[in-house]
Amino acid sequence: MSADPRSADRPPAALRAEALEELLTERGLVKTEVLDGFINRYVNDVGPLNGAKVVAKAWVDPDYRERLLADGTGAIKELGFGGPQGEHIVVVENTAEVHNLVVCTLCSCYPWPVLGLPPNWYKDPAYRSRAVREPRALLAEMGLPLADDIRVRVWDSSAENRYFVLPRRPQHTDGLTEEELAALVTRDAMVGVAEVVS
Amino acid sequence: MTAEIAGSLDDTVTGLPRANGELVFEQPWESRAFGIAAALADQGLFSWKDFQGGLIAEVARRDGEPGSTATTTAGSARSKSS
Repeated sequence: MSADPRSADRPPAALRAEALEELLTERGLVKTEVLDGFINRYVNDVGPLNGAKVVAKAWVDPDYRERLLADGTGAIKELGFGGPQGEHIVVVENTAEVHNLVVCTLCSCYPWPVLGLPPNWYKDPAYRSRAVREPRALLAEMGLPLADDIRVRVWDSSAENRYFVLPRRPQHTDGLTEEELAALVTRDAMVGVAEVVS
Repeated sequence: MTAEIAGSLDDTVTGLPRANGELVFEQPWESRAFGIAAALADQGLFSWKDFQGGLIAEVARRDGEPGSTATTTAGSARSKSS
């Protein structure tokens, strides 16, 4: 079945990655500390909490929400979040009528500054194709059955635009502070495969 | 942005990195491959868009196969051509 002529005698991925790193380091193309820095940063520092803060601020500050919807990258930068894969973040807002779902059909484009690196299911071929073909069925399977009268919009992230969902603020959260609201916001809600619950 | 990066690699990084309670990388080599691609792009050896072109082609070729190694392959293809 496999049509890949290279797969049979190729060394495992771990060995190839190691050899590649060694070669690049030897040639002075990559500095180990820079490489380690990136890994550390995206494993430890940059993650969905950034996005949660953005969402919470948009919920409590109507002016910020407006700026966020008009210029995602700019408004996100106001909170100090930026960097690679954050150049063109487009924020799409869930409402009582419309639910937004984000996918990258070709690979795994994702707004790193606000969500960190994508989870494995986001890169899965099944998610990438079903999000477009049958988003309602997919969402129901992922635990988010949508009423028939809610429209689903699917956004295909790419090198040009990376989409980020502004989820709906849950009911009965009027008394909560911005920090308390941020704690409710999950990564899945900002990709559009879940709702925020209080 | 390189200047903002702090800290160095220790065992915990290649051990069990978790964000939001989920593994960011399933295997240590995945994090190394990610680091290589990010560092090379950051240093301007190729643009992320070019890298992405390689990644997209590799993902398309491998979709459906278990244990995809698209990231490493795209990384090596790009660094060879730069």
